[in-house]
Amino acid sequence: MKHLLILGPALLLVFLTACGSAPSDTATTETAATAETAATWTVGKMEPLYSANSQGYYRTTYREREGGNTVYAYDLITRVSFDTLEEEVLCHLPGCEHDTPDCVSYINIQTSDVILAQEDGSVLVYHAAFSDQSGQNMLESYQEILNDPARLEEAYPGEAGKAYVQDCIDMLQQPSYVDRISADGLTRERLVTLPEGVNPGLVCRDENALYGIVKEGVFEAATNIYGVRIGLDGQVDTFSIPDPDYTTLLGGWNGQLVLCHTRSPVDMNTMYLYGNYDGYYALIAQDTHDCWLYDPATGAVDKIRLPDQNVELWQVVGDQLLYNRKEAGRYTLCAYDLMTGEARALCEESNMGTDASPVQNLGGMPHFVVSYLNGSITTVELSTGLTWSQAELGEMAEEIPAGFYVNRPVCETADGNLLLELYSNSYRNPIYLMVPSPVTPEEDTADVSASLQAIQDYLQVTQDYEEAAEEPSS
Amino acid sequence: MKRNRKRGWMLALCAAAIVPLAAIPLGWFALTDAAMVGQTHTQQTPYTSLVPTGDDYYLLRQLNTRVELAWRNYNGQMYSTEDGVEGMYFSGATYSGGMTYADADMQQYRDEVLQTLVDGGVLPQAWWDQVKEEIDYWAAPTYYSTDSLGFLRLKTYVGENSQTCLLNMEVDSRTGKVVALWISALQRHEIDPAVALPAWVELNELDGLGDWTVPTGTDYEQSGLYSENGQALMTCATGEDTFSSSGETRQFLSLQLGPYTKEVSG
Repeated sequence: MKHLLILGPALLLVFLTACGSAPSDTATTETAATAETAATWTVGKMEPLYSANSQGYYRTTYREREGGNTVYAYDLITRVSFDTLEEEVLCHLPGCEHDTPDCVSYINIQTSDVILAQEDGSVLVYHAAFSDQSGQNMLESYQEILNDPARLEEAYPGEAGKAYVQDCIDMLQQPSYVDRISADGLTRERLVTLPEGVNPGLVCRDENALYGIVKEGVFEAATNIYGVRIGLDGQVDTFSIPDPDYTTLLGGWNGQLVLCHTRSPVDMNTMYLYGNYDGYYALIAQDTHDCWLYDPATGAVDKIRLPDQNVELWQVVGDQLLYNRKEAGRYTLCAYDLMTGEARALCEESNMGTDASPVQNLGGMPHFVVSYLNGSITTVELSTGLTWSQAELGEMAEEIPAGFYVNRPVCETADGNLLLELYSNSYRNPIYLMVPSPVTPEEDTADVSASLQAIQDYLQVTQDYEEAAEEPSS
Repeated sequence: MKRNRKRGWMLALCAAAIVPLAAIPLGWFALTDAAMVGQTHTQQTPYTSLVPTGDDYYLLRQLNTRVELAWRNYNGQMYSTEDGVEGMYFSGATYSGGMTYADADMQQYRDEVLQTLVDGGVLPQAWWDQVKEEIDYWAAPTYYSTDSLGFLRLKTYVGENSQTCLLNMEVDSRTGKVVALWISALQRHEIDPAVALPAWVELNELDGLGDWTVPTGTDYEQSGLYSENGQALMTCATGEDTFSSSGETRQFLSLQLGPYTKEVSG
């Protein structure tokens, strides 16, 4: 009977414990009201938009074609070989002079095409069509000139000029698309043509698709914001994101999209529409971000409020969410571990806001991000927070050609070298150097040890908590 | 005598004929009453009680129209006939260069409107004293403009060529109701949204909507009051204003009433 008397308080305790064990302060799950249709696709291993593969690093280079007294500019896709550090045009068509749109690496100078390296050695070219009225106006203007021989000869003289205008018209008539250039530089094929008017800005990619965001309308007052998945099999899917007026895509993690949600105590968009620009820009300067993990298949959202109050989110690198902590005019670059929920400071600066662009590592997860420290470009190592200025990176090279300086680290090769990009005030095009990566195997090991220690600490805290919870009922 | 009797018979005969005819309507009424009274009739559309909406309130109608037309305007549509919101919208000048220099009457109007907010329990006296002190200290000029829907904007700057805006107030010119107030001051003072916002609802005569609640689960949980019936959001917030002046960190107070159509969890 005595045992039965204990049962009542015990059940009450269980009930109260259940009531108290609400979701943690950092993450709550809810279903997004804006997810109208469940996605039929899944998020793969997401990564930023990288431009290097085992064969080299790819970029666009500026070229000029002469036509009478006028030069006509265009871009070519080039590859910097890791073996030779020489830059070559990614076109091996026999006899190609690489100065017309027939060249597989040719890009119209007025576009901002994104070059993405594939593991198989091929290259993807994403072309985003002009969204606004200016694109249509440009098209009409070029067409008028082309149809008026006198005006054409005056503004764009010679056959080269006519070809340039025609190329611009062709480009402006294209919707957004994804092309693939084969690894041997012999073919360029159209993989995907996006629907008319769907012109996303790319954010990230996985093995099978590219992901971006469409913002229709002007910058501050976009009326229609949604996500786009561009399948490399040609399938294009649009998807809604929760609270689209204040949310954008940051990347992906663990089968979910990582969204950056802007938080403000006032509806800033309405404030802008009221014409209260003082208030709008003051709030923009003070706003802060939350990380939302969004499952497009179910519409579920895990809202993560970071331990720091005023933050700007930058990037997802592996399990780490890189963000900036703003505190009384000081900025600290921090890493939040999405797996463990722990945050740590990497480096601090006081001059201007930091940034964090991951340096692609062809051997695995990135070791470095390019950030700003006291107004200068700085390379930050993610496990230790060690930093290298551009000059310090240059000192790693045996010799730097006179007049050149390190601009940034481009990527880390699979065999542990950093490819550095060097610019000069005298030359338009950069040169490239390879230096050993400053990450040592010991530092890698230290990183793993620190993670294991963190997990053990967490397990110990959990065990202590469980023991403490058992005490009253015993 | 005989003639009179005959007339009497004729009258009686007529009466006998008329009285039943006169009773026909009574009979008809009795029959129809019997058919209608006490019978159960099913209604095609069920009764729904009248719930006030934002459209029932002039102020909210104006704000909805303003925001809708402003969206379209920003996206290149000067004239719109879509979705029941028709017209052309001109926002009116927002910077002192395009606004009208306010005379003493307009400055007095500004002060009276702000005093109404203080008296109504919306704006704490300390905030009003703070901004008034700075206005007086700088002899701060005030400018005004109106948009095409009749919203009056009053802005007070530190000086004639200054970009530091001490006050930006928007008032519906027909009703005199304040729909937005922005104050940038050197010192921050307390304001409790839980007190200020219900008072503002009452002052703007929007309490008839009957469902103003804290918008739980939104970014405005600490700063807002939301009406689902009115599809409207009021916010009250303070914070650091690092935009208005590069030389010093100022403090802001923001009061804003606007349309809000997103779903809010209870």
